[in-house]
Amino acid sequence: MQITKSENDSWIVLTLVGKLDNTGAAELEAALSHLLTGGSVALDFTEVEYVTSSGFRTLMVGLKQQSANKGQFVLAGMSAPVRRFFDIAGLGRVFKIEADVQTLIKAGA
Amino acid sequence: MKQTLQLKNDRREVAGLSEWLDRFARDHALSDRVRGNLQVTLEEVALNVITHGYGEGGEQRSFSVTLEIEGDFVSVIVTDSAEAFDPTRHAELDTTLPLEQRPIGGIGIHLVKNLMETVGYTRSAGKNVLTLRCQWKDAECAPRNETTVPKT
Repeated sequence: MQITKSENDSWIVLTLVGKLDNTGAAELEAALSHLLTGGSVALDFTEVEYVTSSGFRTLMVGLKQQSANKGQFVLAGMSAPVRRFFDIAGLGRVFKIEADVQTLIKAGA
Repeated sequence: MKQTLQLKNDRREVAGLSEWLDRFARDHALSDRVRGNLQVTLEEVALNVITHGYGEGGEQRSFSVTLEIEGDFVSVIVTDSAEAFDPTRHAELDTTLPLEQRPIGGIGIHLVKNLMETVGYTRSAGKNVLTLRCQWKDAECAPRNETTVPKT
């Protein structure tokens, strides 16, 4: 998985490209390791192909840690097939999922 | 039409499994949606065998994954010689629990059951044989009874 970090206003955005599988999850975990200290973190899912349970595990840890630190952890730009994995896993309403990163940043915090 | 891949009890093997599955999907012109459903399912099943069935480190052991197009279906057969384990009898995941009470495990097998049309298990000659079927024609591996998403 290719992960690119950028900063927009108060948001730290990680753009994910490829498979959020066992390998991708380890890469995402490494990319997130210093970012889960509160603040606003958004993951751009536009180019994510699919999410396996390893991927969900990393995302759940990220959300839990950000919640504990009173930060934000938002997923954005998810395609319908990828959204379906979240719904089947029963996580579609656990995560904050926005239409796209641009709207999220424009709306402020 | 039938293709078989042998894998060892090392979690790094799943990267090769994923590439092999991508090639199979491309060769048979499977849609991205069907490919994604198969990828999520196969990683889960393989990691289950590697980490729970066999365990990593120690003695090297192997298991096989076979893919075949059978009419409108992709059939997947995973055969391992670990202790008997029937994932179809695994407890249902409670997707209505709030995040704090959600167990981190259990999502994978739940995904498998919902992404595949059928999941069958037999114990035969000291081996676990897991047979999964997924419709590839005219759509997706559509679960007959889609999980309802709890309203918050």
